[in-house]
Amino acid sequence: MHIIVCLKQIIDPETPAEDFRVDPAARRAILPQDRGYVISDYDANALEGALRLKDRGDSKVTVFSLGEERTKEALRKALGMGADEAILLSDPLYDDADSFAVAHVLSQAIKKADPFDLILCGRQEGDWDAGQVGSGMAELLGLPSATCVGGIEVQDGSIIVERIVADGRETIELPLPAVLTISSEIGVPRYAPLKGVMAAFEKNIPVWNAEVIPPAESRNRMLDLFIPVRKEEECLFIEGDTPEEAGINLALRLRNAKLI
Amino acid sequence: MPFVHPSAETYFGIPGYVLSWVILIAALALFSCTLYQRILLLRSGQPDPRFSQLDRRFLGLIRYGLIQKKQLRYFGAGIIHYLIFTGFIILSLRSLDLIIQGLGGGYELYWLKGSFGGFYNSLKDVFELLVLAAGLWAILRRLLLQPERYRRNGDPGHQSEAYLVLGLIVFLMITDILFEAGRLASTSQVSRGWLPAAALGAWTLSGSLPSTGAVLSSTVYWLHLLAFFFFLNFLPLAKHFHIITALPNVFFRKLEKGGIKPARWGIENPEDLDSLGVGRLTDFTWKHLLDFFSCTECGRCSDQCPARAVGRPLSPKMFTIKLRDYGYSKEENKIAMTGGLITTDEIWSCTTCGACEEECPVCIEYIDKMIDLRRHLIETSQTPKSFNSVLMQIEKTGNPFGKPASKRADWTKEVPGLLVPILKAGDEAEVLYFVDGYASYDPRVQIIAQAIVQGLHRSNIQFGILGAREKDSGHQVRRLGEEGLFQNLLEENMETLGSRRFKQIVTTDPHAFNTLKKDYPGDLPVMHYSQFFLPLIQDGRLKPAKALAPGDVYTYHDPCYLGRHNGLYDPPRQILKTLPGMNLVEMQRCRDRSFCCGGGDVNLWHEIEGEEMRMAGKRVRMARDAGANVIVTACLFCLLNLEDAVKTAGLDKEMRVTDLMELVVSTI
Repeated sequence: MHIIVCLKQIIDPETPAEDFRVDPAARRAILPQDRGYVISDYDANALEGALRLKDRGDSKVTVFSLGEERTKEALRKALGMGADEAILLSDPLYDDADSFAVAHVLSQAIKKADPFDLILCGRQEGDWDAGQVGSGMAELLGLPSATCVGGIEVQDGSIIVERIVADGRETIELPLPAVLTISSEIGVPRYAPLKGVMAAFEKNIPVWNAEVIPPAESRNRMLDLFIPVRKEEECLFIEGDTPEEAGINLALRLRNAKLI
Repeated sequence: MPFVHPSAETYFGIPGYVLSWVILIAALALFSCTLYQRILLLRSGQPDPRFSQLDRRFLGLIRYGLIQKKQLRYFGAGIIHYLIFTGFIILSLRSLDLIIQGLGGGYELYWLKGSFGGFYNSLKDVFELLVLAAGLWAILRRLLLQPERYRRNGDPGHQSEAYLVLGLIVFLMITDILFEAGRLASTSQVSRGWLPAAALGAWTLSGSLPSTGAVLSSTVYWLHLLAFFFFLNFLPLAKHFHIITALPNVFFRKLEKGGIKPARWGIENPEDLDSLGVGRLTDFTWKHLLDFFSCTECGRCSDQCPARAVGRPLSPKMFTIKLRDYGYSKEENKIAMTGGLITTDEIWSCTTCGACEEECPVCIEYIDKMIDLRRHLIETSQTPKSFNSVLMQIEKTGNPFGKPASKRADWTKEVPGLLVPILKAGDEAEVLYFVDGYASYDPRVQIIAQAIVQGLHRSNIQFGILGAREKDSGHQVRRLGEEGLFQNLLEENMETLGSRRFKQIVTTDPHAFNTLKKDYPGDLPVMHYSQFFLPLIQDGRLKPAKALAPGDVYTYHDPCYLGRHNGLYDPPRQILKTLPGMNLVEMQRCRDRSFCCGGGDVNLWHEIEGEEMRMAGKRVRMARDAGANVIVTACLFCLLNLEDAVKTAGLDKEMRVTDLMELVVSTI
């Protein structure tokens, strides 16, 4: 089984909000210089899901990412975690791509690669949170898809997936090949030992540019980019002589605030 | 009736001495075959350089091997072992004598005649009685007292084997005594010396027919010989192999505590290795395989193990027994060793506190083995998920909290009236204070760091810190088995340290102290703050003047990486004694038998299922039993764990935990 994982390298989501600046004229976020870049959390879950399928049987995992040259770090990490191959899509012409344009480039690249059985990506990215690339790829590739997947069971020619929905979970069956967007319920991503990551330096990570995969025009237009006014928050410690009393005081306070 | 040696008689037409030769050759052949198998297993291990510092090794051999210094830490059992061991040394000549007598049809070694013979025979007779008594005492002790360390729930060990061997020892003593008694009854060889055991035996035979003595003497001789060779062949089959391997094991012991062996001896860069750690038995070094041969199953390791004490699924004794039995049974292809035979919970239960190694009478090593097993788990992505984020944070930001490096020195802003210098490349200071991650970012531990800089300032020491350039020391990372990340941290820290000039490094944390001292290359001039401040207090540069609150009773908890791994038991105690109004009591488990707080290493971030109570909870109880209401420690992990345990136990109104430096500064 050939599993494709699409992942994005994003700025560390734990970067304090005050470290970000916005260039209103260019409508661009100015990122802090001293923060690290990481694999977007749900994408790491997607990779973990793929690696768990690989653990169970004879599978190959290929990772695709669209980004700058430094995105190779994230791909090396994925290789260190256990992925078999990685391909980077990088070209200045891909800059400012919206979800549709990203889905287009990724889906064309995946088509160009070896035949695949399953495409996994995170349910949404930790930076823009749009959550559209996975479904977009399914549409562009003409494949069935399921979003917010928390569990995968492979059957002969199909998969049973458990979706996380608003009021619980639902189980559905999809024929293969298919596209899944993965949620954190799939499991905590495994650690990539540094030795594995260093060994990944030996592996060739092909870079495909706009000549290989032509870009698509974005369909969204940024009108404004701004940092919202921060809400003032107050932290209150509810006192009580005993934990029980503190609990009662808390409940009373919440009731008075008409929250319960 | 003159004494005729049993081997000089004829049995069913076969001369006795022929029987002796047959028994000897068969026994030695069988023994050689078994030993050869063991040597093959040993040779299949990885390299391990253990031939350095021969003087220290010989001294250790005398101290731990011959004088058996560690045996008497368990006094009753120690005396028994001491008697049996000494008897074994003295009686080995007698055994040789008896075998040679048999081969020559009653021939006696020349030098066992005459006055030396008389002296030796008297000595061996006395020791036969002593060993007999010790053997019987040991059997009764096991039967009646049933010490817990020999058998714990689910840890059967090899109890029956212990009875068999003790029975054999008793049997060998009785048969030799009776053999000599038979000879004494039929001859009057004064030159053989004063033979109390033989006389006692002869006395028990008195009144019986003379022929009874002769028949008995002959019978017990052959039984003795057979029992002796059976014993010899039984030795390498299980735990009594220690009789042969314990002394070499002591000789080749690890000389420096605290450090961790490299991923593979002789390989500089772990990246050059195909795989890290130990996944198969033969991935262990030959010395670690020798450890398995040498375990006596005395259970002292498990008895002292804090993980065992709180119900974690780790028993150092069973760890060794399981691996030894696994090696002997050649089941390598049937069961996975790492994560199977030795479960991941067992591997992560170890706190690397070193209590087991401190106690083991034959110097068996556990920590390096555990780390090697962890290295394999890390490499094969079998790490508990709880570690993932910590490791990723350290990799990303150089600290386990994932906080920005730019905020690493923020704690210094809170030190009243004091500007803490941050050393840049090329800067010089008398003391470089290595703060490490917890003291840089954890609000509770920052108080200790602030106390240390206040202490340095008041002592007029010119010092500085590394600020954003400092990375986690990597102590926990290495002990977690993430060698690659540790090497990265080490390289970055070494580069930073190399570009600043200083005479001394002072650390907050015993773990950082230990790793800078033992795991980092070169001889970094590193001291724990308790070591550094003691002479300053003694020569009056730092003066504790204000009296402590009256009525408080203090006890000092020895952090494992300060005490057991680095022998620093006294400096913190000496500092405490200089504080006015100090009322210090010792807990029952203190100094080299201190009880781990449970969180010094990787376990701070990981819960082990099956734990009945927190180690720190148990430790708080010990402090309370000692009559203390203040626990002083000199390690931030101990502080955090013990404070947590005090709160969890609902004792926060009666007890408190404080750091040594915090306490010192409060009195200035």
